[in-house]
Amino acid sequence: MTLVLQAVVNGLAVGLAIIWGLMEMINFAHGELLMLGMFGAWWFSTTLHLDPLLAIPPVALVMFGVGRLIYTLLMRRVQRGETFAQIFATIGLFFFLQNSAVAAFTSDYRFVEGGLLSRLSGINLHLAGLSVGLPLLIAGALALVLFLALYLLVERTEFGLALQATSEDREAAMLVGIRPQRMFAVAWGLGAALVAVAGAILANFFAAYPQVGFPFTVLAYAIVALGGFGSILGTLLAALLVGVVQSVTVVYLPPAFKDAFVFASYLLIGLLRPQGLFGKF
Amino acid sequence: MPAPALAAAALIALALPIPLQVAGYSYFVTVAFLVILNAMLGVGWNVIGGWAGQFDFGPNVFFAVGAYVAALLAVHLALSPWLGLVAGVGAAVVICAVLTWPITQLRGHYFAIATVAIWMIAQPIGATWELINGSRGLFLPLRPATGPLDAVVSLRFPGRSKALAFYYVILVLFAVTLVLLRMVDRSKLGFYFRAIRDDQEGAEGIGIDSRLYKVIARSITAAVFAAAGVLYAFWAPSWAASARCGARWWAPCC
Repeated sequence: MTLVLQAVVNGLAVGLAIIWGLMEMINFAHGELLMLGMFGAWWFSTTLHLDPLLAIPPVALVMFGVGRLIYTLLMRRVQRGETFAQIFATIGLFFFLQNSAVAAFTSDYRFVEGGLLSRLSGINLHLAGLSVGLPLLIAGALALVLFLALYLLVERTEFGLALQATSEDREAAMLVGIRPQRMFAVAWGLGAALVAVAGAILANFFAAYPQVGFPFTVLAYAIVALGGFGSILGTLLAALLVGVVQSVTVVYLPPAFKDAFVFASYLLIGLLRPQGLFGKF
Repeated sequence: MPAPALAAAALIALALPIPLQVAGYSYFVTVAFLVILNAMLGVGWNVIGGWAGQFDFGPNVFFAVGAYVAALLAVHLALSPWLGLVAGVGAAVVICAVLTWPITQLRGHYFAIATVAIWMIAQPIGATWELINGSRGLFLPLRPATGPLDAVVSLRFPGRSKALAFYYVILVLFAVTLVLLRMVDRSKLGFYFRAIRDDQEGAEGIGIDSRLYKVIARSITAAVFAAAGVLYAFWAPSWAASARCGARWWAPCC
C-alpha cells in the first residue's frame, strides 16, 4: 500500500505538467524545475535549519520568478516558430539547468534530514485493514491540494478562462483584450512554482541530485498525454492510474519494467483513444 | 551545396586525420570518428523529423537493434561485420515497420510520446534479456587480424591504426548514406514526405497514404541508425584493455 501511495504521489507531482499541456507546449525541463525545488528545500533545511516543508512558500515565490524569466528570455522568442523550436529550446534548457545544478551543488546526493515528515516516519495509520505511512499520507494530501488549486484556478477564475482562450485562439483572445504574452508568462511562472513545490515535498522522500529530473520528465509527458492535453481531471486520473500500474508491475516483474508497463498502457490507450482519456481534441 | 564547396569539404574530411595521426594525436582522430558517426545519425533523423515532420524520440532503439544483431551474428556464427551490417539494417527496418505502423495513427505530440514509449519499453528488455547478456553487454570475441584484407573484412585493426581505419570506414558509410538520402530527397518519396509534413489532409486528398509513408520514412531513419550502430559495436571493443576476457560493448543511447 505504501508502494502504491508513493507511486501516486510521484505521479501527482509530475502531473502538474498539465499547465504546459494547457498551453499545448512540451517542457522538457519539467523535471529540472522539480529538481530545483528539491535543492531549494534541501538548501533551506541545511543552511537555515528550518523544516523543509516551510521552504514551500519561498521556493514557490522564487520559482515563479524563474518561470517568468524563462518565458520572457527564452520561450517568448521561440513560441511563434515551429513546435520543433519549442521542443529543442526546452531540451537546451534541460541541459542548462542540469549542468548549472552540477556546478552549483555538485553531483552528490543530498538528503533532507530532521524534517517533520522524516520524524513522523514509522507512524502508520491503520485504515480499514490497510497500513499507511503518515508522511506519505501528508505528502499525498498536499499534492492533491496543489492539483485542486490548479483545477480551480484554470476552470473557475477569469485568469484561467483567459489562459484557455489564449491557447485556443491567440488572435481572438487579443481581440477581447487579453494580452497573450502576459498570460503565457504568468502560466510559466505558475507551472514552475507548482512543480518546484512538488519537488520540495518529494525532497522529504528522495535524495536530491542534479540528474534526478529526467525520469520524472518522461513520466510527466506520458501522464499528460494519457489524460489528454488540456484536461486537468484527466491528468489527475492518469496520475493515479500510472501509480497503480507502476506498483502492480514491480510485484510481478523486475523493477526495471516499472516504466515499461506505464508506457505500454499509454500505447494501448493511445491506440484506442488517440486524444487521451479525456482530451478534447 | 555548390560543387566547389562540396569538393573542399570532402577534401578536408579525407585529409584532416592524416597529419593528426602522423603527429600521434590519434585521440583527435577518434573524436573525428564520433563526429561523423553523430553526423550520420543526424542526417538519418532528418528523414522522419525534417522531411516527414514527425517528432521521433526513439530512433536510438534501432541503433541498438543494429548493434545487437551484428554482434550476436559475430559472437555465435563468427560472421563478418559487413554481413552483420546487412542483417542489422534489415532487422531494424522490419522491426521499425512493425512497431511504427500502429502508432502512425497518432499525430503530433501523441506520436512523439509513442516513440518515447517504445524506447522506454525497449530499454528494460535490453537490460534484462539473457540472450544479449542483459546489462552486462555482449562481449565480442577478440582475435588479431591475419592480414590487411582480413583486417578490413572483419574490422579488426591493430594498434593505433584502429582510429584512422574506423574514421575512413565511417566516412565511406556516411558518404553512401548522403548519396542514398539525396536520391530519396529527389525522388517521389521525398516529395511525399514533405507533402505529409506540410499538410497531411491535403496530401491524403491527392492520394498519398500518409500512414504508409510515415512508416517508410521512419524505417529509412531506422536503417541509418542501425548501420551506425553496427559500426559502433565493432569500434567499441578496445584492443589494448582487457584482452583476456574480451572487450565489452554496450548500446549508449538505449
